[in-house]
Amino acid sequence: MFNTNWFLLRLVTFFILGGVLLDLEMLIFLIGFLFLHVSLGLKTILNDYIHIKKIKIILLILIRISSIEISRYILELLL
Amino acid sequence: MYNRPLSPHITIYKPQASSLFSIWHRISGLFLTFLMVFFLISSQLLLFITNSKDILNGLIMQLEVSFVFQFIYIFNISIFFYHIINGFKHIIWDLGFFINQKFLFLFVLFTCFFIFLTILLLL
Repeated sequence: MFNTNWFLLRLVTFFILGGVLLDLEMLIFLIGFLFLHVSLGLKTILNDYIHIKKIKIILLILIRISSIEISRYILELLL
Repeated sequence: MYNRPLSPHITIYKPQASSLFSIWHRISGLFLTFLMVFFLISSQLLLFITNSKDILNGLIMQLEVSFVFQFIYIFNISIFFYHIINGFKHIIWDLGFFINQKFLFLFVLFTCFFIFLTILLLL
């Protein structure tokens, strides 16, 4: 039960919460943490509900690609 | 990968506060993800559609006043705060504290009150 994914999923939320409640500019600085949280949560949901192995691996790859793409999109929008 | 035990028939159980809040936590997380992607794409589209800054300003001001935008804004903020509060409960329960009925009752009251307060403050 206790592994790095489990720990990161919960540790990162405190930084995001601080960013949201204190200052939104801090959230822009910490936006990578938000995407880590999103991708870990989506992977957990996939692992729980999809049991066919091929489809699961394809969807995991797609989640990884899309999370990288969305973070690139934010960088493009801000820069 | 993880191999968590999953209940075979979720429909045979009575709806309990703890299970319902957990399910809503997942649904709200998915919803917030889709919302973030939608917001990014729509803001990029707004930037590309308008060719001058004045048109963009006018569009944003019109959007802010409209009822639909206000409704979506308040709805999303309340869902975000629900996700935060329920996440705190999940962290507390993962660490092994307060696993009893009284805490659950107080937590449900607190969540409903806080979300109600958020909606009232934003109106």
